[in-house]
Amino acid sequence: MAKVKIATDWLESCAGCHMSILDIDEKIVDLIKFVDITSSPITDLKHPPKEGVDVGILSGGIGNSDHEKTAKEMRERCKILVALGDCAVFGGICNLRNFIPKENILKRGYVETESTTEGKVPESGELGKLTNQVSGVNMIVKVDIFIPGCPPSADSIYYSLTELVNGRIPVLEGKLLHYD
Amino acid sequence: MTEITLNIDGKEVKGEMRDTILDVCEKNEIDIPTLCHFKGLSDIGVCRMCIVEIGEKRVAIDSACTSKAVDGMIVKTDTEKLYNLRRTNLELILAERNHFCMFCEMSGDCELQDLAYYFKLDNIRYPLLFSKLPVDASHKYIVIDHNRCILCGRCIRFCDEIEVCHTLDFRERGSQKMLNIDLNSSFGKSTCTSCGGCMQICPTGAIFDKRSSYVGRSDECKITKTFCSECRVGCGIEVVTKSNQILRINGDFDSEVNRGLICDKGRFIPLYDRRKRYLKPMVSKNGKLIESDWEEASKLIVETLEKIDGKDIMGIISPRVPTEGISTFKKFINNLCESENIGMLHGQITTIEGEGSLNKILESDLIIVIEADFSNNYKVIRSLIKRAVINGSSLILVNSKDDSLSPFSKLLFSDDELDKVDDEINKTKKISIIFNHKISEGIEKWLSKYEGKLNLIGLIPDPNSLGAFRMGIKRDFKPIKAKGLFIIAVDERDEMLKGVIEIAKMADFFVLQTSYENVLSKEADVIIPALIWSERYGNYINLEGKTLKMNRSITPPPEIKECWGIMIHLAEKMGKIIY
Repeated sequence: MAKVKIATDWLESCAGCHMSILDIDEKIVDLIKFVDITSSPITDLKHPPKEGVDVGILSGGIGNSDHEKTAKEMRERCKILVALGDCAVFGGICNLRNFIPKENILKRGYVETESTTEGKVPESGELGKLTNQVSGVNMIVKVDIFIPGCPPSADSIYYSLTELVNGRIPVLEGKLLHYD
Repeated sequence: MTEITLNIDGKEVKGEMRDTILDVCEKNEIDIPTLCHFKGLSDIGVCRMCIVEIGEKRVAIDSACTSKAVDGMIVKTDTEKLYNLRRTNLELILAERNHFCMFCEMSGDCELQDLAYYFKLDNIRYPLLFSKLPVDASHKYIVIDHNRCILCGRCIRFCDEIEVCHTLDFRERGSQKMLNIDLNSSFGKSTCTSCGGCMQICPTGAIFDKRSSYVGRSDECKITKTFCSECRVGCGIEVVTKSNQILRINGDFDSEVNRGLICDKGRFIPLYDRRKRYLKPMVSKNGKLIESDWEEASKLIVETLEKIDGKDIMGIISPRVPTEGISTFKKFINNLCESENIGMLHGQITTIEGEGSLNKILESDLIIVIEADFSNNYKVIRSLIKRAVINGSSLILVNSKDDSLSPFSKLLFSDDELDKVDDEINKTKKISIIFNHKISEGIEKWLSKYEGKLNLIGLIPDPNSLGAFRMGIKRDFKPIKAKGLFIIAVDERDEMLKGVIEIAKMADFFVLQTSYENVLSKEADVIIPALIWSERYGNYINLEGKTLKMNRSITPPPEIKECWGIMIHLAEKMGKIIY
C-alpha cells in the first residue's frame, strides 16, 4: 500500500496544535511507516507539493489575507482537508479580536504598546491585510474533518490519522472529543 | 389521579392525568435531552431540545415539557429526524452567542457542553454572530456573563417561583432578547436578596460564583451532604470541597426541609469570614494571652475549678453546638463541677413551643406573621410565605417589622388589635402562625391559647436551642456573679456575645472555648480553640422538631477538638468519667 501523503501548515496559530502532533511521542515511529509528511512549517519544505497530497492539515484561524491564500492553496492541493484545533474549527481564541474594531487592534499592537516609542502601523504591500473578522478555516474553503480542542489531545490526532490511513473518516467521541 | 397509558417508542407506558409527555418519560426512565427544564420549576419550552414526534397519521413536532400527555397518545422520542433537528437547534444556540469553552469557568460542568458532546458536535455550520455582550460583575458574590447565556430562563423562574423575589426577567425579543435585572439595573444595585439560586441553577457559565471560579471542577471535588446551621430551619446543603478547602455551598434539591432553596446567610456569608482563628489553647499571663498547649491549659482549668465551690461555678453554652456537645457540657457542669448554674448564651426568649411544619405553610389558607423581621434572618421562610400567598393563601401581618411582606398581605394589625386577629382565625380552617422569638408578654399570652391547635413556627435565631431544652438546659436561667465561669461560644459574632460581657468581666476565673478572637477574648484566663460550622458534626433539632444529622465537610486543624471531646479530657484530668 502506498504511503499516505500528508502536508500541514499553520495560520493564525500559537503552534500548540503542532506541539500536540509531536506529543504522539514514540508512536510517530509506527505512523511514518504508513505516512509521508511532505511539508510542514517546521521542516524544510513549507508548501504542499504541486502534485498534491492525500491529507492536508491546517491549524490556526483565518486572520489575514495571507492565511486565506495558504488555506486556498492547501485546499487545492489536498484531497481531504483537516481543520486541527479550535482556531481552525471556528476561530478559537483568535475570535477575541472580533469584538474590537480592526483599526484599534492595529493601533494597540503597533503604536500604543507601553514599550513602543514613535510606533507606526506597517503598510508594506508584502504584508497580509487583516480580515474584518477572524473565522475558522471552513468559512474560506471546504473542510472535510474537524478536530476540536485547545489543543486537541495527541490521542485524538493519532486516532484521526490512523483512521484516515485505513481509509475511514474518523468520528471523535468520548475522551477524544473536547472543546478546551 | 387517573392513570393514563401512552405508546412511547413502541412501548406501552403509564402516566398520570396531569403529566406532560416529559413527566411520563421521566417516570419511565426514557431519556430526552433538555436544557431549560428543571424539576421543581414550571416548564416554558424555550430551548426546543426536548422536541418529540407526537401522533401517527399527522405527526406534530413539539416540546415534550410543554405538551400535555393524553391517554392513547403515540409518541416517538428517538428518530433520525429528531436527532438532526435537535443537533441543528444546538448549533444555532452555539452560534448565537459567545460560547468559548477554553476560558470558561464552567467547562467540564456545563450542561450545554454536555449536549454538544452527546451530539458529537465537532464543528458549527453557521457563521458565529460575535455580538458584543456585557459582563456584570457588580454584585458582591455573583457574576453574570451574558456572552454565555442561552436564554433558558431557569434563573428567572427560580427567582420568581422559588425565592419569589422577581429581580430577574427577560427584555426585548428575538436576537435582542436579554436577561434583565429590575428595570435594566446593574446586579449590584438591584432588589436581589443574594440567595444564589440563579447561580446554582444556571446550566452554563453565564451566572457564576466569584469566589470559587476557576478553582476546581465537580469531578475533582468532594461533596458532603449536610445541613446549614445558621438558623433553625436547617436547610439541606451540599458543601463542595477540594483539598480540605470549601469551594462553595449548594442548596440540596433533594432535601425535604428546603428543597434546594437557601439564603445568603447559609451560602455566601460563612465563606467570606475573615476573622482571626485560634489554633492553639491560650493562657493569660500578666494580662496578655500567650499561646500554650493542651497539657498546660487543661491542668490550669482543672486545678482552678476543683478549688471552687459548685454554687460559685457557672456554665454558659452556645446553641450553635450539636446536642451531643450540649449534653456533655451539662454533665460536666452538673456532675463534675457540682453546679446547677448552666444556661444558654442566647436563644429562645418566648416560652411558646413553636414546633410547626414548614410544608403546612404552603397548605395554609391563612398565614399570620407576628413581629418578624426578615431582612437578616429566615429568608427561606419568607419565600415559603410568598409562595403560599401566590397560590391563594391570605396573609395577615401583626406589628410588621420590615416592608418586604407588605405587598403580599391582606391586613395589617397592631398588637392591641389581637381580637380582630381572633375573628379572622375563627373564619378559617388551615392556619399557620409565624412569630418572632422576642414577642411581648401580652402577645405571648394571646398566642399560648393556640399552642397545639394551630401550626406555630417560632423564628428563633439560633440553630439548636431546642436541642438544649431537650437536654434539660433551663430557659429561665439567672446568671450569677461567678468565681469560676466556663463559656462555650463557638463561632458567634460579637453582637451575640454582648449580653455576657459583664458576666465575663465579673468572674474571677474565666474559661472561654471559642473559634475566633472576639469581644470576650480579653477577659479570658484560658482560651480553648473550638470547631467552626464546617467542622462540627452531630445532631441538631430544627424548628419543626426534626432531628437533623449534621456532617462535617472539613477536617479541622489537628489541635482542635469537638466540644464533648474537651469535656471528656477535662474529666479524665479530674480523675473522673463523664459518662
